[in-house]
Amino acid sequence: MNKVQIFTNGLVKENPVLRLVLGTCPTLAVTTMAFNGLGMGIAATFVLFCSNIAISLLRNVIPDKVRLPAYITVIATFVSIVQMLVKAYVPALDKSLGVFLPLIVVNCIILGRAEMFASKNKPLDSALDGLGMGLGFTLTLVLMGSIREILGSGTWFGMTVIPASIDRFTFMTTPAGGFFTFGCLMALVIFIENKTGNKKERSIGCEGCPSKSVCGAKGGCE
Amino acid sequence: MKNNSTWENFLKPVVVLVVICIVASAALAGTNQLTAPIIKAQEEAAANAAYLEVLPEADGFEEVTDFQSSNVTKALKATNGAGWVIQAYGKGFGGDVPVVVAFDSEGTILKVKFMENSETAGFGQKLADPADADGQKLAESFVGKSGTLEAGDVDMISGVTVSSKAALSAVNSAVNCFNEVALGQAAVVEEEQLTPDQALESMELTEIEIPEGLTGAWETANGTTVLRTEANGYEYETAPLDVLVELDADGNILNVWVGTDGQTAGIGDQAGGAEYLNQYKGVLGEAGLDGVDTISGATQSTRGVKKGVRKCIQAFVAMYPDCAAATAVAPEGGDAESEAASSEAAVETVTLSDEACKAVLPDATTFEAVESATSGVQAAVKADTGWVIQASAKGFGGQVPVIVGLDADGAIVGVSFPENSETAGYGAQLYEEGNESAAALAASLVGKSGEVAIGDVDAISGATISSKAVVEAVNTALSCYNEVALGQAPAADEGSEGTDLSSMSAEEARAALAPGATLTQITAPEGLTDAWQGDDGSYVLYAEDKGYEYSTKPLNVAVGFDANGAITGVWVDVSGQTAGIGDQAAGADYLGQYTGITDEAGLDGVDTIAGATESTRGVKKAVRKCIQAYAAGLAS
Repeated sequence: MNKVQIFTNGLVKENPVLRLVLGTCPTLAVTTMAFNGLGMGIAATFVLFCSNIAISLLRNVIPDKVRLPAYITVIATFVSIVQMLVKAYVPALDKSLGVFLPLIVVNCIILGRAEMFASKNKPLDSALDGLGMGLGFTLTLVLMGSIREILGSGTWFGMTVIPASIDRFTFMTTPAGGFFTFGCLMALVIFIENKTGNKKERSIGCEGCPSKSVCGAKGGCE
Repeated sequence: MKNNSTWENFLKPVVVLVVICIVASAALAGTNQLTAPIIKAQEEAAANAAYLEVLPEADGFEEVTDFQSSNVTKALKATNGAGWVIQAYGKGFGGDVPVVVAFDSEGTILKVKFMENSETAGFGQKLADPADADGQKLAESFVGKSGTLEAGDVDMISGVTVSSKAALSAVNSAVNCFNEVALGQAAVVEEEQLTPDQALESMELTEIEIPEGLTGAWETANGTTVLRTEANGYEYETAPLDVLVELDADGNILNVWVGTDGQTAGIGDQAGGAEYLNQYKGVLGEAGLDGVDTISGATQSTRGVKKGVRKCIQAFVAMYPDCAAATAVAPEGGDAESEAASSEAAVETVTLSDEACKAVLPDATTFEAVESATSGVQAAVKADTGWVIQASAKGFGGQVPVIVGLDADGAIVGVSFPENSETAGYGAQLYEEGNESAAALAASLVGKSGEVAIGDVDAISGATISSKAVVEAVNTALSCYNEVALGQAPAADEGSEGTDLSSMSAEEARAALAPGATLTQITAPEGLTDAWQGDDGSYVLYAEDKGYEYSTKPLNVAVGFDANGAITGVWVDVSGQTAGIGDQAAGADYLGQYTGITDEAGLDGVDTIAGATESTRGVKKAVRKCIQAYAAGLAS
């Protein structure tokens, strides 16, 4: 794949949330507001970008045995750095993301791309892949966040778009609403796939997890 | 290759990981250096925001930590002399009610802000809601005042007494602290409630023989007796309550101390608080305990304290059989049951005053008391325009009295609720003045006649049991009307007292389930724990099922069948179920539903008791087992 393809891969073709079905936890949790989705997406993209580069640079140095601990350490370091920066410079975002900011460490997308791409490719490619995946993640988050925010609170990025006289569909801001929106988006994507003949087999549980080969839990997550 | 493999397999991984970790730590430390000061400044600004809100003239605060006043979290002096800001709290309904008070340099209150609290939504939470008019009114009523304040000085929120009092006490604590730190007066320190061990240390004691069931017994130099026992609070056997009771020579309770380690903090340890324990002072004998309320939300702990005190009283009476406490009417039996039995037996007659009658029957002018034999009726009065009857029924914590005014045709004209001992905030709302839920319930009864069902009225949400008691009392009043106005035979109290099987022992219950028959034990069919056959073709079958405690303490149920296979009654052994809730599963009201059922299909009509779902489901399952066993083998 050429550089551009690597980058755009993560946007649509292999969108981490809607096609690879990775990182659904934060997707559902933070998309109550578009701003939160954007903030989470940018934070995750930053971590993804940095960790992909770092892991790619170290790919020949890290022995196979200690792959996972090493990746996690690297990822966790970057997440902690992001957390401190967010706390200092954008405290409002820190409050809204709450515990999901440190939980980026266990975001499947990051560990997944480290395993699936960065450990096997050059730094520049890995960086582009990280950016692309992160951007795809961010776009999906913003999309879901916008839908839930507009329908659930009548605002978009804090600006009221639906006149206050119309009752809000507050169901959308609840977790149930999140699942519902996610399901609808996924259905829409599959519909488009079918139309364009691009159907991708989605696997759930251990089958879809990027760490399948190294995981010791053997189905323990399910 | 061999050399490499030691390096490859053991050393390299370790080295690589260590290096990665060192680099990571360095990066983190660097970022921390950069961001930590910024983060700290922000947190301080957020905290100060609340203080600046109440004292905007201040440009900064310096904290004063050297003070003794109780219930104060922070005392801040404005650096420019604009005044003081003091954060204090008061003990509310569900926990602390925190308050931030701004004083000018002389001590006049400039502003009061109520912080977030965990009081009841719609009641105490109004305090912290800036949009709430009542909360704002109360906060504003403090402005301009100085010195210790009384409830009459400020605009307490009606219906939110406990939280308003807590807010008032919080502001007063702030005032005390101001007086101490700004004006240099002596601090007002609240007396800490002593634990039993501390109380014992403060007294001069001689040990005496410890009666059975107690953990300690002493006599003091003043001639009083001190008894110590353990009672089960919320944690049951793992963390029992330590209860210490001091009694005088007559058996009057002078003091109660409670050790509450192991109870839920903030809830159960109110069971050890002065406000609750002061209720015991002056209690004479077991009968006196009926007047002691439980703390809503800390029912198990406060019930535990009551049980402990009861044990001590019983032991005292056993030690000194001639004391006054012994002759105070003492009910027999276990604890929750004896409370229930005593409150059921105590449907005492009262005299209705003319005003009480007029309150429910406004057009009447003449009142004449009449006699009624209907059980549950406390007073019956014939008026010129109708009737006024006071009846009561068993609620959650005791009897719930209701005064019903009826017109000459027996339709309800007015309803009022005298004081009861239901849970504060729930059934106690009935007699709270101005309480909307109580008013709605009363209004929904007007116009009804004959018999009222719970579905016909506006029950108080969350106070189901008390509301049901109100309906039962109203129905009792209506039956009384049938007796005194229409001349019908008085309704004997069905089920509540006479045929309450579960207060009987196993043998008595068995006999009651198969009346008139001689029972012989037979081999229990599969699935049952015991079976008895009567000589008239009746049976009494026993089954076990899981109640609330699951397999640790299953429900033991006995079902009586007559010769035709219809259920005569059900007896339930509820030891181990949650007192007050699960033992309703053994109450006559609930079990009466089973009488007459002939097959499994009949069970569909039996309701579960809300709040005691597990226990009542368990009873149903056990009864079902008995019916199945009967149908399978024993039906002739």
